[in-house]
Amino acid sequence: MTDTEIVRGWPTRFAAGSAALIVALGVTVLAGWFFHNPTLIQLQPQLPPTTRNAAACFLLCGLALLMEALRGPRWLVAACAGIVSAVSVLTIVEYVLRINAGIDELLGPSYIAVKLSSPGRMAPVAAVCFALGSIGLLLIPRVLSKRSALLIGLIGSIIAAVGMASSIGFALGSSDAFGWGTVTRVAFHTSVGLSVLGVGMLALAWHVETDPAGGPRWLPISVAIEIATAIVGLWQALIAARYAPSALLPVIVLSGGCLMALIFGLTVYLAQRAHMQAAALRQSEASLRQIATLAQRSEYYLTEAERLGQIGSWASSARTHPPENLHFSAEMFRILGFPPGDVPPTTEEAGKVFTAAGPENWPRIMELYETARREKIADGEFPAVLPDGSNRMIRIVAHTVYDAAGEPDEFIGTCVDVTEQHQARTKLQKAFDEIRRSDNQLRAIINAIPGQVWCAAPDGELNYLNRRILDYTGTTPGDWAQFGWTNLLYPDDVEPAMRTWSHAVATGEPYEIQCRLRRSDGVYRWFQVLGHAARDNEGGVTRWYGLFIDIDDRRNMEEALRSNEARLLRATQIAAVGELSASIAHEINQPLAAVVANGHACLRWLSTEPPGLAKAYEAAERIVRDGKEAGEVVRRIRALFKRTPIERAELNLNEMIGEVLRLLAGETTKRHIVVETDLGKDLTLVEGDRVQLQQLVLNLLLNGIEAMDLVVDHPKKLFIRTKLQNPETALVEIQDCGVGLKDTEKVFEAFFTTKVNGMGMGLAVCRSIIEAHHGRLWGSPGEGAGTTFSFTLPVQPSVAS
Amino acid sequence: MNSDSPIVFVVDDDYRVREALSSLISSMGLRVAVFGSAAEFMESDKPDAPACLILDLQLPGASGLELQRQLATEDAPPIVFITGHGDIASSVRAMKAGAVEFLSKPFGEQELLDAIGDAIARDRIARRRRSELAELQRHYNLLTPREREVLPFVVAGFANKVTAGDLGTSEITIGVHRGQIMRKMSARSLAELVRMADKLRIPRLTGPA
Repeated sequence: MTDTEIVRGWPTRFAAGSAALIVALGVTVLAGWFFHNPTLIQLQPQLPPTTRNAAACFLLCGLALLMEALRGPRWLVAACAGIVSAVSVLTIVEYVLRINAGIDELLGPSYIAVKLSSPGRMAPVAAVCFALGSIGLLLIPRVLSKRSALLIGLIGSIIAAVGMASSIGFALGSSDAFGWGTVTRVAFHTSVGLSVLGVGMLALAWHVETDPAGGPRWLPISVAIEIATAIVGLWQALIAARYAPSALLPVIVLSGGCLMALIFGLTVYLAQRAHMQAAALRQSEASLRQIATLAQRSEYYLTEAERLGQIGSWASSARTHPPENLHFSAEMFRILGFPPGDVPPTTEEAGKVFTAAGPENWPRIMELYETARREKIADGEFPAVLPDGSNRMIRIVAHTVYDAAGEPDEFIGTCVDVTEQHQARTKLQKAFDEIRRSDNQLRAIINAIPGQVWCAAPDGELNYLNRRILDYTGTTPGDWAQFGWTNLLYPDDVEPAMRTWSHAVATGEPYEIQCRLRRSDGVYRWFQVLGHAARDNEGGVTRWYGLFIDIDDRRNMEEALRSNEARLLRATQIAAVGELSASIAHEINQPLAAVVANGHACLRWLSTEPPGLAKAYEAAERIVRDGKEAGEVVRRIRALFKRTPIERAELNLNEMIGEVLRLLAGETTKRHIVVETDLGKDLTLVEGDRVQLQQLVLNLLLNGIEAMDLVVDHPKKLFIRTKLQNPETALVEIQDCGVGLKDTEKVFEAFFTTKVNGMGMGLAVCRSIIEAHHGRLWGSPGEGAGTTFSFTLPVQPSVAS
Repeated sequence: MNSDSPIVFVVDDDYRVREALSSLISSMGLRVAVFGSAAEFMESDKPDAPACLILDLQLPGASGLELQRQLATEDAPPIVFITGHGDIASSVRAMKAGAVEFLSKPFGEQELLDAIGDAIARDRIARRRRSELAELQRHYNLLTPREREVLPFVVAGFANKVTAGDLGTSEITIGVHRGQIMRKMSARSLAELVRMADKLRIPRLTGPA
């Protein structure tokens, strides 16, 4: 509580008013002294005057009280009270030690002659009252506690009692009252002033007592003191009226008065207590009403909250087994699917909801109670089948309440229908499992890819390498961060690899290079390194993803294949010789047969009578001619099959094709194949190896011929066309009308064959031949039936070669 | 050379072989005619004389074996095949289809001469058989339809009475038909008539019931 909050009620105003009166009294007395007006100082000339010191003390005490009541400056209060206490304490000391400290006439000499023990010095009773009052004012805190209020109240009561007793004495004409022998007596003004000062201090202490109705706690004591003081005053008056102190009346008055003071004090105390008890009762009743309202409201809120939050609350006894249900909230009935009611279902009834979902739930719920009993709190989720047949998941929380002896008394708890959460959680868990599974799978895939995966930042810095790369190179990610990969590359490959990579990083173009990478055992193997930039929506590179693909085996195989190609070519030539043997035989036997027949004819004409010389001569001429032709055939065949180093020369495609067709004439005739040609006249020379290109055409023609072996429903026709496809390229098409091919690309693979006895090398060799000549060879379905094989050759010597 | 002197046809697509064979065969004193293809041969007029066909197995267009098949239905000359490279399959087919010989090029003079001689001898027999049959056919063509009906009964040895019963006429009429048949067919005996009927491939009735 702060001082500003103190209620400025009537006691404060009363205190302020009292203070003002005291100040006025002090000023009046001082003025009387200064202006020599004795009526302002003393009641009667023979009675003692109020001294200058007492007047000054009144003035200062009044000021201090006023400041205190009006919440004036604290230092002013302390200053005034301090001076007063100093003066009054010194005065008491003077009386006790019978000395003169020289403070009595500080404000001027006491010119009024009254028979006093020490003129000009204030009365000892007054000094004590001022000392008590000023110390009280000095010590009084701004916020009064009950204890300090009691102190102030007692001090005020004493001062007021002393003042009033003196005043009564004066009123009853006992001017000697309160005179301690010859010691200075209290003046009338002083007694009035002290009465007002005491009452003012009481007023100051009044409002501190919290109870406005019952009055302050010191009130009974104060009342008793006042009455006792009044009685003492009366007693003194009786003594003054010449009654002996031992006479009956003064004794009766004194003892009866003291008894009465006690009774009054007690009565006030009892009344005050009764009043306070009644007030307390009223207050507690009001609080109770308030609490009841709050409780009612809370219950309503709770019910609403339960309904909205779908949380049911329950309570059951911890002293029975199984715990007996004591309370079910409305929401509880709804959650468990029971009709609304006040009496909770028994534990067994409620448990049926759960056992319907599985008998194992009953022991589980009992276990829940046991856990709560042991650990104060327990919870669990239980599947339930509600009376309406719906499947739900219900979460139960149980909390144990212990009695004073620490024994479990009750379980209280909540129930929540968590079906949706449970389903969502199950779904989430499933999704999470799925993600984890696919993540693991992905990780496994990434680690299983023989290509070895890496990632790099947009600036080209490697920041991920899969396990396989590390296993292969026998390095750690730290090694890569520190050294990069240049020290893993074959020295010759470092420069091109780095240059290409810098270019890729600078441009964002895909990265592809073949290089040798050192294995952990120091062996270098060929790798194809691929990198591809992942881009964001603006097209900026966000990351590089890449692969290392081990192509060492493939590369070695390619090299072996290349070195075998020449031998392979030879092998297919020999195979072609076998296929052609019949044709070749025919080709040679034909002129031979003519030679032999001509020889016989020649001889016969010579042996006739007369000899047919002319005819014999003709026959001999034909022998020479046909013999030469036979030799030419042999020469052509040898040229086709002889092993000659590959040499390039300009050659005429049409001429070369014509030669091959002549060689095949026997074969086509035998198989009743019509050969048609459309050889472009404008075809310029091409550069190439005659033997290889003849081999190529021969292979293609033989394929076409064999493809038509099974044809019976239409004429077998082989069509050869040559033309300029464009100024740089010559095109040759060989078209058969045979059975056709399913896959015109697969046939170019080595060891692929559709023939029963084929090696599957013919077309593979053809393609390698044409590629060595910088041309192209392909197959396509023919018009109607069959297949067309086409190849192109550059007519100008290729720049690349 | 008269029209009866034998002739040798040569069909080969190779002009060198044609020239050589033409020269060789004529040096043997035989008539020779050469053709470059099967079609040429089919279209040509052939003299009515014993003949022989020397045929190349591999021909452009219709092959030698095909020509042989076509000729089988006609009164064609016997065939001697020649081939640049003989394979067993085609030689077997040729011989089964009635070829006289199958010669691989180059072949010797004697082989050819023997084959031609053999072929022409066969053709002479065939020609004679063909002319006999033609004579018989000419006789048969003289018979009336009724006589052609009766002929099978006669050669089957049926009595006139049975024949008359079967054909629904009199025994005397059958006797008259029988006489006419014997006369028109120039048959001197019933046995000869039976042989003639066999050659004419007149279907024989089963014996009398």
